[in-house]
Amino acid sequence: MRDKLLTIENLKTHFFSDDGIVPAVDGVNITIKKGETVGIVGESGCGKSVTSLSVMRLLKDTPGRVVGGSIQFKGKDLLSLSDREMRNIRGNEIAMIFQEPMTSLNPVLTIGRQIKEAVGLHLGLEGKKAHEHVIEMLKLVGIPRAEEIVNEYPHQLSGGMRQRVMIAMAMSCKPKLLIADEPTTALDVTIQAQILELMKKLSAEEETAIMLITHDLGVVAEMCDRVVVMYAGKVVEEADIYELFENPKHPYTKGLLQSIPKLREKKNRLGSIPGTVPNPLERPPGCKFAPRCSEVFDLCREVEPELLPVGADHQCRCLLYQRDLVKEA
Amino acid sequence: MVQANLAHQPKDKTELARPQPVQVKARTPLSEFWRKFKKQKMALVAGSFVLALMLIALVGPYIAPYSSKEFDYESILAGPSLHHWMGTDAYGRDIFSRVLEGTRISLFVGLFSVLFGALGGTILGIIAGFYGKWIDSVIMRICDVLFAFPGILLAIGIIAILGPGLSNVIIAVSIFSVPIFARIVRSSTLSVKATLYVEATKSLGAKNSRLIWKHIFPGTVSSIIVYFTMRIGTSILTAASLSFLGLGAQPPTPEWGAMLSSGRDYLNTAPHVVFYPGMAIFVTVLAFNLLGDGLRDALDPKIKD
Amino acid sequence: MFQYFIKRLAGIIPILMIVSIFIFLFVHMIPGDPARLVAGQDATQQDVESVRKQLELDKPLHQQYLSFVTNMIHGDFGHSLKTKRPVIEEIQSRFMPTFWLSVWSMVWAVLFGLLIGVVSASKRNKWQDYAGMFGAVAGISLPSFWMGLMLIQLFSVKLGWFPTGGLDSWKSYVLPSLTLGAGVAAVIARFTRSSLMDILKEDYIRTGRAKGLHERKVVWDHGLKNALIPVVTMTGLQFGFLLGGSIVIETVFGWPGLGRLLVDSVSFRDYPVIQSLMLLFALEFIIINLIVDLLYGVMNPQIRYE
Repeated sequence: MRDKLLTIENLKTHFFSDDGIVPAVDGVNITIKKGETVGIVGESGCGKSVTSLSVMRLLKDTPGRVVGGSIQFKGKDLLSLSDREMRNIRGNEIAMIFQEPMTSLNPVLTIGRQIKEAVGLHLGLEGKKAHEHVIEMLKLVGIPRAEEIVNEYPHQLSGGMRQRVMIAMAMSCKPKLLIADEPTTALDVTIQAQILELMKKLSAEEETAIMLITHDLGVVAEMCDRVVVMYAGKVVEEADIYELFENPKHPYTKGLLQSIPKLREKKNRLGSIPGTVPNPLERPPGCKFAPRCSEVFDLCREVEPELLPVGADHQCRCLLYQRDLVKEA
Repeated sequence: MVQANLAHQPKDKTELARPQPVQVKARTPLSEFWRKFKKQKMALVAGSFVLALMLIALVGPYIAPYSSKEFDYESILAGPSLHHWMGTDAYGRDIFSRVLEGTRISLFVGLFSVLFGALGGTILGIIAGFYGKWIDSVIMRICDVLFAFPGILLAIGIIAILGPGLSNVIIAVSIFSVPIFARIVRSSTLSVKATLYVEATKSLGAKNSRLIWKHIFPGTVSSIIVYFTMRIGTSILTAASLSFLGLGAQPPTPEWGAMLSSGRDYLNTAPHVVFYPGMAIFVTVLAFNLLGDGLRDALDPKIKD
Repeated sequence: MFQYFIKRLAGIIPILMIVSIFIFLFVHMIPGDPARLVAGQDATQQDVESVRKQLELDKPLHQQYLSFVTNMIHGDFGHSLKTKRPVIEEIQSRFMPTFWLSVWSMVWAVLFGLLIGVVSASKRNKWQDYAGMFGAVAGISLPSFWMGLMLIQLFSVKLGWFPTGGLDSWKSYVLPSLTLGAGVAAVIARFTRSSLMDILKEDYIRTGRAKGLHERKVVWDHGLKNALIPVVTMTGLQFGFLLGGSIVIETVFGWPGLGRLLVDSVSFRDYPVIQSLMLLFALEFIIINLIVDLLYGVMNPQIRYE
């Protein structure tokens, strides 16, 4: 068994709005080992992005705040670090790429300048050395004419190229963990495959662990070692990739898997599960998935199930597998 | 970090049996506006102050301790005292009474110049936005040019033509308010016009006048209210500046700017003659501006400064 | 970039035309006989007629306009009714004091405005923000002539640090430029705050933070650089405000500039001077706007590279 790199324990991140308090992340446990690629899957609003922003402590400009739990990274509790210590980790040991390559780069600064910032900050490289490192990184992510692109502005590049730049920036300090929040959602299908391939190659070469946040199980199947399925701020199932695809337990996971089209054509977002994610202000008591579940029974509407093992390296939060426990109680 | 015990983790079965009813509060635009507006303490204070000013404008001369024309040669340029709260001016007139009386003039000038400006601007803006084509370009070009003249310069130009005086100040200030309202109304007219329901009404054969009145005008009301309030402050300030320059109200009218202008000569010996009328202008304009800011945030957060 | 430049340059031609027509018609809009107005009230009928001939007021309007424009281009602005000297001479000696006063006011305004705006935006809803924004609203509401008189009372009369008026040394600039800059500083502060707050919501700001950049660097470098583009545009428009404000401030401080000349000329009904000054102010404003537009092009890489 490989060493643990990141351990999220009982993380609770709440959003404080005019209309009330939204428990966007409501007691999440996730573990990522060194060099491992873990997929975090769920519909929008399930709390997967908020989880990643909590790890980076980038909730500053949102109404959100971590109100409980811990996040251990290489033995340090990220939540108790000072701002300065946290800055040393961001972009250095934990890097992040985002969904929107079109807007994630600063339009008034050159590509080179933006990568150099991270390189200068964390690797202490300046001047010519930094410049060479940046060009090397750009070549590594497969950008042609790297020497020229360094001095160009983001608007001169296509979306796919910009996402490559983002990856180059993220990988420039050889992070131990790369958090990728829907890295290919905004890209064309053909470009998607290239970007995923690139991430896979780099993570293997550099032994970088990846926390891949996506709503697309197809992407997960291509990339991940392990999968965490989230619903309404909670983890509902977690398993090894083969186990999950061959032997899904939670009705939600089953629904997600059924919604993957057989051929890899453009598809609706997880279209086949009836209903939508419940309004976080008005989540039902009992199992949060109950209103949409095809295998629901009376008790589901009353008792919130726990996340419990259902097999080797396989956990599920569903009363279908916990009837005995419930009867005892 | 606040440890909030809010995660709803029901353990008790009786609690579970009663699912909470889903409440969706229906909000009318007015209650939604009030909900946002009352959160802004500054704007509330400013709003109350504006109401108080309006009251003073109505009853000011009746509650004033002295008449604004009452000369008292016994106490000339006297500092603030129990008898004269803000002191007296060069003719021994009570400054407090004159400031009270001046409230009516300043509010009148501010209100009416913006009213005329808004009226003209709204009409021009709707015409430009609704009919488009060459009418639009001509109106907007002229507005550009009016913009090219700094407000007070334009007013001075107009006064140079019409001659000094308070009524001409109102005309001048109205005219330079026109392009601002024309622009706002034109752009909201364009956006309302682009929405489907106006297209639909048009295809049903509705008359233009009805279309403008029923559909386009209501869409522009909130921006007009916000700018209206903000412009009142600016207009009061401009009118006072013109009077200060001797181009507006003439002495012995107790207009604040004119009072300041005639008090200038005594700045060294009796600064209170200048201080209080200026303070009155400042506080009044500040109240209108704060109120305008509050209205903007509550009505239409999209509007920028 | 070159195309952008040409387009902007071409864009001011219609505005220049309309402005010149307005100012040309200015004298005609005054009730009464324009020839008598120019000649002065005490002129004889003969003088009035010779003025009418000289100014070609007996010709059709469009011909009058053409010669008006030609004269202006040749620097012939007519003669002042008050001093009988050519208007151009009156203006020349007063141009630089007004120019430098505006420049210094703008320097203050930009300095204080940006600082307050950036601090307010980055300390959103904290006391710094509330203090900054209240100060800005107060700055907008402050009657500049009152502020000027109060500053004179405090710093010139009581403390004797600065002269009460006139233009003798660099000290003379301090109070007028601060007074004139205050309102503009307030406007810049408010605009910078709202513009920067919008920018700080952008994805690339999050990218900057995710890189591990210090918040100060995120705000001042990544944020402000983007926020500056609209701020520069708006600041240019404030030059108009400044020109207008200078009219009042120059009167307060007895400044030997164009603003005071204008006020004096209005009181004296010196129409040739008023007409020329109006044109000059408008021209100045148009030129500043053009410069701002070009600056916008230089600052924004998306335009620079097209």
